[in-house]
Amino acid sequence: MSKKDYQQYIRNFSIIAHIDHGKSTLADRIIEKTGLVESRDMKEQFLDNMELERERGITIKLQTTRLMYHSQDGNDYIFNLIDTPGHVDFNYEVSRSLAACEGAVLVVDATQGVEAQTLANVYLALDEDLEILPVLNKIDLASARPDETREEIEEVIGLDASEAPLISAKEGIGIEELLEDVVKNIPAPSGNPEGKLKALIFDSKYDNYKGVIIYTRIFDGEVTKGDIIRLMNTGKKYEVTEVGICAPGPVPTDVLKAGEVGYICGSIKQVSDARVGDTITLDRDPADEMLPGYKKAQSMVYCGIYPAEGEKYENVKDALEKLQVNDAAFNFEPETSTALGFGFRCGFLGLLHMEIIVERLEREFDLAVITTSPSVIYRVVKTDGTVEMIQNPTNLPPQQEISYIEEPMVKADIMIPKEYVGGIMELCQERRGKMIHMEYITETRVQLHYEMPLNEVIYDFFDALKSKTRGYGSLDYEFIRYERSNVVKMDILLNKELVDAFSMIVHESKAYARGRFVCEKLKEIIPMHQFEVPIQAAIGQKVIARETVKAYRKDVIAKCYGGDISRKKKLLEKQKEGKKRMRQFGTVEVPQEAFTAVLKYDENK
Amino acid sequence: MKTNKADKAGLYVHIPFCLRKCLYCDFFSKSGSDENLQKEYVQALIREMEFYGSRQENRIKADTVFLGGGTPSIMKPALTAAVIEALRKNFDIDTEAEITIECNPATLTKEKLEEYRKDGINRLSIGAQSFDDDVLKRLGRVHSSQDIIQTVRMARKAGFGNINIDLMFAVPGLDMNKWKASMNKTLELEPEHLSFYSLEIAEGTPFGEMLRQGILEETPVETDRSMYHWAMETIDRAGYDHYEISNAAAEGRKCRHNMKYWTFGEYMGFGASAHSFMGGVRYSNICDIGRYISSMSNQDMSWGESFSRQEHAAADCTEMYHVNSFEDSASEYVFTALRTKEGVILEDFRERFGSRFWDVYGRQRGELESFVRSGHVISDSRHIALTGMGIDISNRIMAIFV
Repeated sequence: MSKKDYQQYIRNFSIIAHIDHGKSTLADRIIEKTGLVESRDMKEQFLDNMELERERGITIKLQTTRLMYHSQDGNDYIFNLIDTPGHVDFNYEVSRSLAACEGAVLVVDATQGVEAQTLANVYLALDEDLEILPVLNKIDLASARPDETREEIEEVIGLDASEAPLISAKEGIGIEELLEDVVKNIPAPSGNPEGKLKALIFDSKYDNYKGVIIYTRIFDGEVTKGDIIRLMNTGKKYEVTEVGICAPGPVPTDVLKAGEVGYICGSIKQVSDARVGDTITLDRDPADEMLPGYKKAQSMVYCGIYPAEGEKYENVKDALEKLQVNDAAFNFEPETSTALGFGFRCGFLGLLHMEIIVERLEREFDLAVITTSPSVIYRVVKTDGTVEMIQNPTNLPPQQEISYIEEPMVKADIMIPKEYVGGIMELCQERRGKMIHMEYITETRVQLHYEMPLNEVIYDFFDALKSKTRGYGSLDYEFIRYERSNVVKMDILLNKELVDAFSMIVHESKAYARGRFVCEKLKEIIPMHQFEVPIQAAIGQKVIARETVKAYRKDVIAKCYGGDISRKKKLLEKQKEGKKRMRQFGTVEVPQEAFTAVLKYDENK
Repeated sequence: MKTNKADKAGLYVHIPFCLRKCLYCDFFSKSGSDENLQKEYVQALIREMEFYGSRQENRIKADTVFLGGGTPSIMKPALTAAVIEALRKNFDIDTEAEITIECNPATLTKEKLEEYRKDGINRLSIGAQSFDDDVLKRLGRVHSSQDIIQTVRMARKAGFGNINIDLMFAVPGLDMNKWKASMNKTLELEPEHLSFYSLEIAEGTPFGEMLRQGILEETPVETDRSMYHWAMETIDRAGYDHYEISNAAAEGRKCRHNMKYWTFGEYMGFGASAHSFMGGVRYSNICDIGRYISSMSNQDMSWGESFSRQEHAAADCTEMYHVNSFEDSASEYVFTALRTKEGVILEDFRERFGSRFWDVYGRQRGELESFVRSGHVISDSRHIALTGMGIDISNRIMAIFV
């Protein structure tokens, strides 16, 4: 076999799908079919290996695995199945994993048809020139409508779906046929094994023993242990301590060659040093140019994260650092709040990303944290002509120094069944969206194109969309530009004292409603004190909403005799314990949950 | 920590029987008057006393006795006499000891009262609760307001010069006027002592269940507090010393037994569900009459020799056994003392614990000061005590020190 020949038995591909269309289940079936894991040892959805991912049914962290497939043509093939994250927050990561492949299996739920994210993913795959194999999933269900779905794929995406296998990942139907299709239709890699090393980082994760593990696709050349590699974007150099394949756990090998997918370790301290999309080359014989498509991580949403107990500051810092080594899209820096003390300003790809990080802090590091209102980055043009990018409401310059403020706008593509058009248009309008275009994709499905302030999307737009369409609506959005906007800073005062952690930037038209909402919420949550606690929402000096927490009148035990002392002590201890979960703001005690509660903006209330 | 050795202990005997259980009651007791069971129970009580009293040297000295319940007055006088006799046999009880029995107005007779006098019982605590018959009914009491007046008269005639009357407020059906009327009628009877309790609806009681089902309405906090504050002023005007959150006494008539609970005194409880605090250990008996009786017939109870013996923790009759740490004791001392008018006397704290109060609680000082500024607490070089306003929110203040 010539040196190049081995590549014809390799297939590198991803599975792309709209959320819930069965991507992870299909991956499970493929893994099972190729005999990597015995069926009975399979955890449901093998590739979603974070507990959190399984719970939420979404893939956050990529997982890649190498499979052996004995094809009907008599040959053994190496399949590298590269998983992709399944949420709009992680589009860049998706695009880089796709870039590591020659093809993609497009899973479309035959009961649901094409969705916004299906489209978004297809476009990403087409951008990478991938061969796309559509498959129709869930055909075991009575509500499956394969012919219509086929039509939709052809009409909407413009792919020939006549040959698309009909499968049921859940029931294991049609998997063999699909695998044969992969062999037949997805091109083999065609890199130059003798060329200069050019390898794409499509994922990386931190391992306590090995340091950062880079997941990579080798395009040209080869890499072995002991090589000095250079990451072309950061310019950093590392000595390779190990190379190997993903099975899916790391299995060391001697060499990784063009066309192969595997991992590289090199005592790299954190994943941001090995950013997804970067190109690996050899220091002694570098490639002439890097692979296209590299983007620096761009945080879209910011919020403050503070330890619930001040003395845990160092622990939170350690935990954030650990998360950061594993998540190049997450960044943080120290900040101070008068109300919350020392904490961190953290940047995220989106709200889901933020929720995930917070949840991981709590679960994996057992830390209680307080998060402040999420904010987008505002572009503040000052009267002296200078521009400031503000991602913390507290840092907004005084009103008189501001000439105007611009906020980030996104292009939002929303796909819904036609009966929900009215409701969703109302929702979008309420969220200050401008409709650009509306089209009937099929007789029953509509795509709405809106331009909306990102600020309006990050709160709970996705949840609202889901609930107003009984789960059928789907959303995809991307940043387009900054636009001048009438936004103001709204402060919350407790007992006349400003609590900076509650400050938020809102559109003027929304300030009253939002101020009222926050005051009402806080009134529910803040316990009674020995004095009345006025809660006020204010813009500058002007109070726009007000509630009052009454002073408590009675907290006394009438009887305390011999048998009551131990019991009563427990009660007092409990009371004191409850107090510990409170934050003291001046004279007012606020329970931790107040911060999350004011974020859950329910406009129906 | 030391409990003052010159202090004598209080002896508590729990009689867990009632004619009928009141709808709000969450004390441990059993309805009905099964006389055989009562007899067996008293035998078990006597055995328990004997276990503790068996050692002749080092007999425990006591200066108060309290027969509580339940309804101790439900028992035949002979049984009460047997209990008192056993106490005297097994413990060194002062000749001047305060000996109280709790009673229900419906259960007393002239004969019983005379028998009590003979036994040396010198204080009666009468569970009146209200002088409004409608309210009494709604509480599930078995007596009328007339019964109370009758009982007090009878007791006076029998020679009782130290009578307590228990009242409740913030109970269903009681408005401010009825409360005032009840209190005034109580004062007319000139008791030496009175207790006035805000109703606490406990889970597991019929009231608790009714509240859950929405058939019972809790008295608004505002009403509750105005009733309390009105009562405070009224008893003060009537010349009583409001010496504990829910208790007031005529000159020299504080309940010496109950004061032990609030001044970190030692007490030993006998009977099912009875609690004790001896030698820095808090322990209690099981809340089960049958199991209590059978555990007392067990001959093997060598733990009677000492309170801190671990065997006690494992004994059949023991439900709870806790050796107090310094922190436990200090915090209990503080929150019980804060129930009293005198509050925490800093010098007494130092004597007992060997450290100055503010050396132990320096970190809590700021928080306490905020309550001083808001008028809920008085704090000076002598003592720390709650004001009338402070009582209303006493749990919050006490919680500082646990």
